[in-house]
Amino acid sequence: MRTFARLTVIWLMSMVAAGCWDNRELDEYGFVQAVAIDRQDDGRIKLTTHFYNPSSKSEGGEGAKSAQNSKSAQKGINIRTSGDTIFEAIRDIPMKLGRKAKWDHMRIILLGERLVRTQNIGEVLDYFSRDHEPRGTVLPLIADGDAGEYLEIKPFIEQTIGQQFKKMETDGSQYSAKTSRVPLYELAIHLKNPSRTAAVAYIHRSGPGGDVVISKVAFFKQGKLAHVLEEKDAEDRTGSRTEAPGRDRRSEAGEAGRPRNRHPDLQKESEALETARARLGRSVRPHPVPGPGGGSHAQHGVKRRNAVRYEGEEVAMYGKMVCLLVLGAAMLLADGQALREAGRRERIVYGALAAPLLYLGLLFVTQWPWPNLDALFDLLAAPAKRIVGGLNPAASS
Amino acid sequence: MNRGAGSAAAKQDRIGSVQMAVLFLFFMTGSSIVIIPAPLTNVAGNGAWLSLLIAWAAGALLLACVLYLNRRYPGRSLFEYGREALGNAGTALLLAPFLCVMFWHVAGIVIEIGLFFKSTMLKETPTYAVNSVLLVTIALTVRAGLEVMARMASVFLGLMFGAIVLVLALVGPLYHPEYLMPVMPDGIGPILNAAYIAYGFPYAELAVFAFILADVKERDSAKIGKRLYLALAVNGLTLLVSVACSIMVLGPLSGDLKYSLYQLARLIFIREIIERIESVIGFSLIVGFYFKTSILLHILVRALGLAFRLPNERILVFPVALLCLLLSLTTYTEEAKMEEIVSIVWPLLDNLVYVAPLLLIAAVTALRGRAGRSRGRDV
Repeated sequence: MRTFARLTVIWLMSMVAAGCWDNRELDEYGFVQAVAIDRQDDGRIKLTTHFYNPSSKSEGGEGAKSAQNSKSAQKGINIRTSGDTIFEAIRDIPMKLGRKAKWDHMRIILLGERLVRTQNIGEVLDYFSRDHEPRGTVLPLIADGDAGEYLEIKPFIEQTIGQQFKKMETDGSQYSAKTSRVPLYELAIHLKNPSRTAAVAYIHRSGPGGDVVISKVAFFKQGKLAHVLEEKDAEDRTGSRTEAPGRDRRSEAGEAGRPRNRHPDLQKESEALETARARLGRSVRPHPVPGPGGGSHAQHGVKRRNAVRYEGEEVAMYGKMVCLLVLGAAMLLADGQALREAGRRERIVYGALAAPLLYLGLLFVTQWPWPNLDALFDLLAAPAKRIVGGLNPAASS
Repeated sequence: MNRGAGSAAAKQDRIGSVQMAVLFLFFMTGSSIVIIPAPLTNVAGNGAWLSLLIAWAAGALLLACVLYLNRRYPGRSLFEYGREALGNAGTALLLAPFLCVMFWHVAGIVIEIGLFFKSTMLKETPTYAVNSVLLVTIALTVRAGLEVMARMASVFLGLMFGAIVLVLALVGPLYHPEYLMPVMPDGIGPILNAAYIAYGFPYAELAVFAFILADVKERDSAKIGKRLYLALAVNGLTLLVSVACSIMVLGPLSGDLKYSLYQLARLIFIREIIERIESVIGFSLIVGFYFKTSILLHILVRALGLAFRLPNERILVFPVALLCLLLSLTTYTEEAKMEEIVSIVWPLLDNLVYVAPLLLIAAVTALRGRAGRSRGRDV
């Protein structure tokens, strides 16, 4: 009987514990394959998000050609949204798609040239490097003209256009060396390095047929697009960095160096860039300072997110209460027998613990800002800061 | 489950010295392996490993002090040392804050686990759900007793160190040894600052072991010193390697990303077969947090039992755990505040509350010992 009761409890617990908290199924999400970000004429961000369509397996019935057409058309869906910030544009996706966007499996990020000439690429990509879903291994690409248009193209050898462009960039840089392959996390490293330069692959149309090509290298200086290196020069650049194609995963400059110790790689890099520029007979064009861009918008986004959180507050309070009661009841149930048999001292200490338990339980459920241990600890903050300042004068400033 | 706690005079668990060393290794490495590389590289940049060495040396000295007291008062714990050296009132005055801070210390590790889950894997799950499940598991572990924990530790140790080695091996293709240079571009200041952080967490925390070193089996207690030092050396080496490896992969970015080891696991990509393994790694690393908290909760309950001279302290496990859970949910709920306490306030706090009483007791013991010896000679 006891065994049966125990097994039942274990079974019930495993029923509850399996699965994620918010109870989502795979088909409740739209899986993002690629995203394109542009700046519109009115200065707002235009977001084109390319989703994978899993329900396009049905074939047959129609003629071979139309079936193929409709199939490739259905494989991916483009959703266009816009907003003052990327975050705002992303929020609007569900109302056009009917599913929440899931970013884990994103292949590429296309950035319109116009956008990255006027706004810091670090600000633009901030959402993707901070959110928990997109990976650091996603590939950013700079697009000639309107980035969103590239997502209209049908994939020709891969299943989706996102995977198509990803393979074009990785294999193109590996075997032809006329472009670079820098994933998002490496781009973030480059933007932090002493020279503040970064090189990103470039996508454009070329030839009479207007075929899409990923070649050339877009150079960033202080986060803004400064220059696009032509194919030949991109190849020379790879050569000058004495690297075999396919080993282009090294950083673009002396990554670990602080300003006063220039890394040899960095020297080489800037020399290569200079030669390339001299050959082109062009200099780096200065660019206008962006308007009141990213910062304030980003804050706006955060505020809105908090506002959404707030609506769930009452539900959260209820959940907390249930959690606390269940734990408290379990504790008394488990300890009841032992407590009755325990000595006087044990009972006194047990009872004494009940007072802070009740107080903290009240604080937890109601979130009242009453004094807690952290207020006590914070008394030490001032002397502790003085110690840190003494050890490291740079930290206190 | 209740039988052990129910019998009035439960015999105190005793463990071997190797088991104690394994617990000690877990306690020192458990949560720091995930957390410490990020603040160190953030403050000291490429010199983070130097700061770690400095902090480690300070930790080794502190361990020497703990072992000295253990040798001088064989079979007794910190409370009894204190009563012997300073008398009842002095001990109560010194060790009451010690106990209070230990409550928060347990909560603090649980807060860190909650933050880790919140920012990496379980974004939508409310913190209280994560923390409750964890603390229930921890409380049940502690309730099972020190012997059971010591036996569990060897299994989990394999799991955690296996995960660490796996990550560091699989990110192999991404290593750039040149990221390690220059070591000290901004002078010694940042290095000292980072050493202060690493000394506060985890090295000064080893003072709490003064409560349970006496629980080593008597026939084994002679070897405890050597084994604890070995554990400390393994811990130092592991932390050193993970700091160096995260610098070699992430370069100047390593200070900007929290949970370096987990971030490295996210970057693992081997031929479309081994990728997205970070969740598996993440959960193996959580074992370290879980076990460290269990050890600390055990020490806390044991210390409460010693302080109030309870014959059977195990009955206190659940209320103490619940209290710690509530503390973890009500103090430092903002991530930025938590970061500030770990890197600025905590080192001062645990030195004042953990290390200072210990040093005082050791100093009094040493002086008395000398006085006693010289008196002995005179007579």
